[in-house]
Amino acid sequence: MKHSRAKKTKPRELDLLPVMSLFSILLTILVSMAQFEKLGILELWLPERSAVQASQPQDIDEGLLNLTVVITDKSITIGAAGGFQPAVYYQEEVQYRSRSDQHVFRQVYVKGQEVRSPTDGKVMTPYEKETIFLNVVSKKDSLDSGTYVYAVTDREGEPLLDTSGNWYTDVPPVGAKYREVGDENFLTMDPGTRRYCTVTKLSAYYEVARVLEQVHKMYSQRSPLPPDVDDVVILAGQDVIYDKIIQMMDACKAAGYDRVALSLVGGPT
Amino acid sequence: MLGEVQQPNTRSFDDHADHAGIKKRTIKKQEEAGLIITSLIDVFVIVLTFLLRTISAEGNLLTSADNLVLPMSAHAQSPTEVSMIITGDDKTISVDGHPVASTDSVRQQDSLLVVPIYDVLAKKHAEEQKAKMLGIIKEVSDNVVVQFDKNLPYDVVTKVMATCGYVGYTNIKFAVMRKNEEG
Repeated sequence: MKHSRAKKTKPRELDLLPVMSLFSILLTILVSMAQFEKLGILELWLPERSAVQASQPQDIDEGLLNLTVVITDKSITIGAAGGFQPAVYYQEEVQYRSRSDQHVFRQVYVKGQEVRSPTDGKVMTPYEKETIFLNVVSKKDSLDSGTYVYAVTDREGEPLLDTSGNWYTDVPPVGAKYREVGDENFLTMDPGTRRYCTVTKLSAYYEVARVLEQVHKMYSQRSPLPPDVDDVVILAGQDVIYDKIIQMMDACKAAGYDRVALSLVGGPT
Repeated sequence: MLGEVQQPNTRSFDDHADHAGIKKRTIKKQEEAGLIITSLIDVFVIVLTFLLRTISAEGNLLTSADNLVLPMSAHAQSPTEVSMIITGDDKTISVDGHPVASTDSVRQQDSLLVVPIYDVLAKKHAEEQKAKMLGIIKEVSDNVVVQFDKNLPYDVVTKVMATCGYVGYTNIKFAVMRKNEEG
């Protein structure tokens, strides 16, 4: 029988040059359009102006929560329903980036003290502060210098809470339950996560967020529900750095407060 | 003869080689060398995917101002509309890119009302009201986005915010850098 002999032909390669040209054009357009910095907005809540005249004495509404966070240069205090929580004392540590030689260094902030760059000795301006760390210190009273409070943080630097709502001070074992502030669900510690857990100084923003979260949970279960259960007012002095206000607004939002208002110490809201 | 091209010596190298008794060299016919573009295309696809992920479909409604560092926030939202922008760095306070007042003078004054900013905002607000009366715009906007350097004192922030409130810009939003992709 005669076999039909199929000619062995080499498969033709795809001509990818037009595709490359197309990709080059697309890349150029996309790179020119790309926005590498992710900008966002934080909305501020403005309380409605009261109809009551300022000269008239206002009755204290027993049903209102009136949650206020007061920021001073040494502590953060939370007040609600006519009472105050124990103050969260902090030690301010500043990471500077020198504008002259881009040298980065950290120093504990002391009010009124001149900070000089260790490389060229130039005096640092307040605008050369790169990051401000507010490390929680435990104090017996305001005169006590205090000791740093440490907590376990995960890979992203978020401190971890145990099931009773306190910070883990030692890296939890595999299988232990943990969660971050603002998360309702508990997660189980696995070896992969545990490997990246470290014990670091606790940030005052997280500590305030933890307390605020507890207050929010407590008042959300009350009956009747306070009308301002989701509201918080941040009260700060004139010299407080704007970054602290934004970080505190972030902490309030993490704790479940959607409406954050600002107020100046001694000034109108 | 003119135009006649003199033929060059047409004896090939092989003929010469034969004549000289040199061993014949066989030159293998080589295939044409082509570019291997497949791996390059792979790289392009990865870069394209990354770029398409970073680009937002709605475009840039908010652009970062120069000479200032915005604070970081993990709970920021995406801007939904174009608003008037007030920027404040260590030297000047600007409205829509035009310097209006120096930061030091705002810091030193006692009053909450910053007159140079008030004048500019009042003029803009009046223009918007006029545009509404003429039917060019539907509503007078009360939105303002403030972009302040993160190391600016809160005092300056409150004075600018209070001035915005006096004019009628009561919906104040802070521009921040997002910490993550969410929001």
